[in-house]
Amino acid sequence: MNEPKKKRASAVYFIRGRFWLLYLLSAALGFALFYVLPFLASGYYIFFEPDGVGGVNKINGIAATLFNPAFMLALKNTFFMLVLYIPAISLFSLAASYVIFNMGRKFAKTGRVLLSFAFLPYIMPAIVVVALWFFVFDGSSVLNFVLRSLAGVGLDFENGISALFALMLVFLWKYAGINIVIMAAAFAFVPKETIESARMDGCGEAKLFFSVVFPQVQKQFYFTVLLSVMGIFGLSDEIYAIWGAYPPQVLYTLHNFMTNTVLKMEYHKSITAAVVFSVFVVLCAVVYVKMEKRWNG
Amino acid sequence: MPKKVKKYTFKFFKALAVITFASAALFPVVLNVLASLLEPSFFDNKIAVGDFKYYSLFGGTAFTPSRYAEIVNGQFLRAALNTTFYAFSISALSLAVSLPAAYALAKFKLRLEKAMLMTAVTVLMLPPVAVCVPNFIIFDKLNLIGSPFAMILPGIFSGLAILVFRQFMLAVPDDVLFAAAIDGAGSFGIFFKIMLPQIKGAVFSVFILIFARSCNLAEQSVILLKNNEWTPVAVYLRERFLNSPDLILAPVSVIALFFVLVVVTSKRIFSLSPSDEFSFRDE
Repeated sequence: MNEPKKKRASAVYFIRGRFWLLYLLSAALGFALFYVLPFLASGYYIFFEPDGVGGVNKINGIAATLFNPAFMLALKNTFFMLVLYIPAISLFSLAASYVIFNMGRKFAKTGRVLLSFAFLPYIMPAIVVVALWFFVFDGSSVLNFVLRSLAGVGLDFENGISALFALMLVFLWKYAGINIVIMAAAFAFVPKETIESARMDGCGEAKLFFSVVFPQVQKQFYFTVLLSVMGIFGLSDEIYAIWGAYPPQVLYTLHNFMTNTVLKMEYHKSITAAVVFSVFVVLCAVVYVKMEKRWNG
Repeated sequence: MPKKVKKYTFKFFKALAVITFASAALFPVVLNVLASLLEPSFFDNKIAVGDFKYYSLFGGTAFTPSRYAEIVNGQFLRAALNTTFYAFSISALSLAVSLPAAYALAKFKLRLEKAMLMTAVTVLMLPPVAVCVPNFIIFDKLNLIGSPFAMILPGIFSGLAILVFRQFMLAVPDDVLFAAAIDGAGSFGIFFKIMLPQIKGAVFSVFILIFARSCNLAEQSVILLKNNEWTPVAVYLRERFLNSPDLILAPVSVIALFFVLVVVTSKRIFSLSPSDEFSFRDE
């Protein structure tokens, strides 16, 4: 993984590097046609053809979407979900993978089986995930009976805040496994000598983790954060499957806004939202690629 | 605390962690299969406790396979076949496109490498609905609205596949490729005979992953297909689900068990990072 950087200006390039275009051609064409071009076209559309009205109303059309209460709510909720869910899943999977990594030889076989099962929730389609969890977080379920008798509050899909936390558990179930697999592999790559020599110098467990182990796996850690961000954007499939077009207010995300406006044929609003969303995603991508360059070299 | 007690307490918590972790992945699947075998009346008979009503677990409910009649329903079968077709073609074509592209990004020195990586990361995070309307215009020009190709084409270009393959290919040492080049292998020879065999594990994982993600195709079908007979299974199930949640218990159990089977029968650990050889601290 952490190959020295100088090797990358590959010797192969100088010998057999003429065909790079052939390798890239199909992918480049596809990405350009189905993602880059639509993005540019959307940008053009929202500025120059607002809702077919044209002329002076250009800016009004965009402003009408951006200051639309539904859009504001969607933006706020998406941001809130990111702030709440990302730290939860990142810390949980980091801790769990470190525990699995530390289990040692006796658990190696079990550990491997577990890691292969960790992938299972990740590959389940959204509608299956929803159906699997629906009766667990139903207001009439056994879980809610127990919770209400013991703690006094239920955890169901019905009202706002409780739905937010129920969905968080579903999110953890679905995405923590894959993060754990990636992090466990990353821990396995940490040279044993660094751990041993830190031990010899009298390093405690906490310091060992934060100063020796974590710096060596941070690249993979940020990849799991990226996957989780993607998971949150993808979570709207589940939200849409459970509640249809109008989920509880705290769960009305940008994705819902886009889907609803597309289905109501308010294309201008949908595209404006999509452009705002994409700009945010592109910013994330820029940060990620910049950081990746730094870690690689 | 005596040392021995401490050791066993530690072991106990380890075992507890293992069991929790293992059952967490499978727990809802098992529950769902059990629920799908319950009599349909189970979901109507609730008992009131305090302010709320609960399902009665001990109300003399019998097990019956009657829900599984849902699966031989023609509409469901057609939708399931559609999705299988979409998923297979998307994942196979996506491998064909992403592997060479990832090779170029990993092993050649390209001027626009950063821009291409950014595009891949962006596409990875962008939900399909965001490019749905512009894609509709493109497909309208190409006269493909209502045909299954409108569903397949955008899915082929997967940011995830390119990023994961690139990571794996970066981990293959250049010296190996260089040695092959000296021995007279051509550019394509190096790619097919040296590079691909080394990242077999990733190819397998990514294939399953894209297959699974393609089973999610839903919203775009509403405008790209105009709800014709090519409707994917996710849309069909969602409509049934919004009708009444317990209608889809049986089909969902079958789909979930299919994925469990995939995980159980595969010999290797799925992995999205360049090592599927896990080792543990004292190994």
